Amino acid sequence: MLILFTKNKGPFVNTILSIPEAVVSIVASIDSVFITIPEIADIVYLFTLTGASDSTTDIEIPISSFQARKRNGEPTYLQITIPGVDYAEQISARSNGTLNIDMAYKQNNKFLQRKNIIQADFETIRIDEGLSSQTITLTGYKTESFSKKTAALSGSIYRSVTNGIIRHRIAKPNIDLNPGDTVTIGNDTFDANVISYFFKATKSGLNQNMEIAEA
Amino acid sequence: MGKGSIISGGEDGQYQIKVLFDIAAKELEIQRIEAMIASLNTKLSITFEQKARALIDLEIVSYQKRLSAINAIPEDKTISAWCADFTENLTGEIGTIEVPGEIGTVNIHPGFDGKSAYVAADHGLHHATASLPPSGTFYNLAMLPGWQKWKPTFRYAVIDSLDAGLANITFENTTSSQQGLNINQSDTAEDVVIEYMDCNDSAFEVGDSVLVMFTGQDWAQPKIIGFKDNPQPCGGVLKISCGGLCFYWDIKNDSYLSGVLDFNGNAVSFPASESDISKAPTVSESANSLFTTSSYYYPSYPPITVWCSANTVNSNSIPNPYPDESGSTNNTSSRYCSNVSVVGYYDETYDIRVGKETHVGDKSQRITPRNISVNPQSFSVDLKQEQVDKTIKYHEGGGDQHLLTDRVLTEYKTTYTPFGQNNPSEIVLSLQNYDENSGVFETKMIFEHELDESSYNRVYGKYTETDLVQIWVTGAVKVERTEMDCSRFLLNNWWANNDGFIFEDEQTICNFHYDWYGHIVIDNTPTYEEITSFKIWASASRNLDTSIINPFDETTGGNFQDAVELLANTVKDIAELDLDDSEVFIPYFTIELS
Repeated sequence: MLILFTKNKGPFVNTILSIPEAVVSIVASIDSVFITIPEIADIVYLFTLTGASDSTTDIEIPISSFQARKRNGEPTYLQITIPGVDYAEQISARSNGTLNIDMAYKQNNKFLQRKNIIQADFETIRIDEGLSSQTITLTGYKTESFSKKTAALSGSIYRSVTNGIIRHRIAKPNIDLNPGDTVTIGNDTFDANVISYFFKATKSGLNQNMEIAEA
Repeated sequence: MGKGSIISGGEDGQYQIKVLFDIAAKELEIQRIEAMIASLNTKLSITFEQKARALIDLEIVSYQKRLSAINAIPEDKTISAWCADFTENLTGEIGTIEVPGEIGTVNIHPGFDGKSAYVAADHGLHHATASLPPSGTFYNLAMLPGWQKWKPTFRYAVIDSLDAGLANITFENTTSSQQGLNINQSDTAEDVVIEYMDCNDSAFEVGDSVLVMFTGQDWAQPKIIGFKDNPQPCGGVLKISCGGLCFYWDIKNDSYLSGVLDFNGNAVSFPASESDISKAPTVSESANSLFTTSSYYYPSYPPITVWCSANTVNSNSIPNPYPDESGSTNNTSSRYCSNVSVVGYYDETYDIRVGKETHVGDKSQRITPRNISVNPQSFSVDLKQEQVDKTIKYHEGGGDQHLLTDRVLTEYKTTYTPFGQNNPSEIVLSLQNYDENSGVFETKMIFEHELDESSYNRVYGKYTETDLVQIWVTGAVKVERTEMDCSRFLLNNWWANNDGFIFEDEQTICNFHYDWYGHIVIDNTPTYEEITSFKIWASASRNLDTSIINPFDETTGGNFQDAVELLANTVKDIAELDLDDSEVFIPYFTIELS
């Protein structure tokens, strides 16, 4: 597995992408994304498809992107894209599994903290086949409820107010943040009822977006 | 709007229903997926390259997941739903109403006159979101708030005021499930038409939560078509018929119903001939009169009973509480006893509640004891036909008269009350208001009447949240009195042979004519006017008391009674032409409630 180090454009973020050799010429993929916070650690996202429901083992699968909309008490949506079809057999063998995205802090190649941030029941499979590339897209939904807490966030890179609904995009995700939490960012304090994630590995780097909104 | 099926219920308009979804699309999708899986399995059987097989396998899993999702789409949903109007007998498939155009609160279309029966073209059919393609789902959800607001179907509202059959209403705050957008075009509406069963506004009151339909999906054309929940029966319209004449009564307004038209389109004057009426509310057949035939009645002659008041030595007069044929209540003179009897007495009751008949009392002829000064509809005692031992023992000694005993009547038959019949443990004939100086006394009949449970429930237990109509007719009452000398000879005879009145100082016994016991003596044939002077007690009221009530505590008389009497007298005036002096007319009423 080729390890590719890239420098993020952001002032505090470095990324480390691992790309399967088979598809390295086609698309970058992520099996871990390290967002280096100089003062603390890198941030890593990992995808796991569970196998217990199919009497098999869990498997970590490299992904090229994921996006999610996480809600409190309402269905959370998760979509992950797997480059290539190398894992088709493993996915078929876990057709009743759960899609998990973990977020972890990693430093000196060691996980300081790892926590599941999004979970969804494996519901649909989409197979895309082009002339030179193939992808498998898995999606799922799951409704969870979270205990309300407060969180102070920083690093807002974008703020909007639409019809009184505040949104912030931040560059430093918080591993403990859940929908429904009361967050304080800058001068804003509001209930983060929807947390959206969008991460995509590209040849030129990493597009990432984490948005916290009131609704 | 959509399609539903009645499961159970109906009381007060509330049902358990299944909301039925369109399953045609679901079945088509299942067929398509199963065909694809079969095709992929065929492909798999001829594919040997591992990676290709893995991909086909994954594709099969993909279709299987889709199949599971499609199979999980419900084909119906069981809910509790109120019919928008007071229809309690719905069955089969019905049209549903969703307010405000998406499944939240579901009502059943107004069922009056069978109008809630499902018609696909009118009521449509629900599609489960999951059975639609994503593009269709997105389009529908994106468009939802727009058409909810600008092409409205139904809303809930509260009636602020009612005037001349039109209502001013305030709409409930209504938002779409999509984005929570306000989808009301205005907060209020004025002069809203009410189209409800066959009585329109009469079923509604200020403060009612109502279901509003927009004609042509036009916000400017609201129309109240029912209640949000707990629909009310019309109940406000009453039809009283008698001898071919009738009138319609608005119970709520305590007046003749307006808007009843003749064939020229003019409002009719009541009482009116039924054949002259072209447009009037439909009334319930189930609330017809207790009687099945209408006829003239001859005077009835119930078994005779006697009442006696007697004076003693001082020759003072004795009060007679019952009028004679001339209406006089003059006291009987000394040494005379009064025989007051009733001839030609007929008593009938009508009592109807919405949708059900409740027979208060029975149709038997009755005698009201002479010594009970109450209205005949309050209670009566049916004394034994032979006689009633009602002798009174009276004692006077040392110049002071005093009562020795009350007399306990032991030979009576049955007491009747408006609540049924009963056998009290005893009836005491009591001497009361005795005046020592005048020697005058009165007699009172005293008994306790205990209602058994069934009688109590029958009368008291059912008059809740309903309209109550009562008409009592007491007809052909004639009271006559004979006077006779209470001679010492006769008294002695009586004393010797009977347990009569005993006056210890003079051993005076007032012996009445023996014929008093056993049969009636009619000395004078009642005149026609006397015998046809029926009396009517009538009430029509809306009982909103939710506790057990005595219906006879309801207001009696007033406008409704006047209307009933006018109707009866008008009929009588017409019928008089066909009656001879031996016949008597008792008005026969048919009572119908909407």
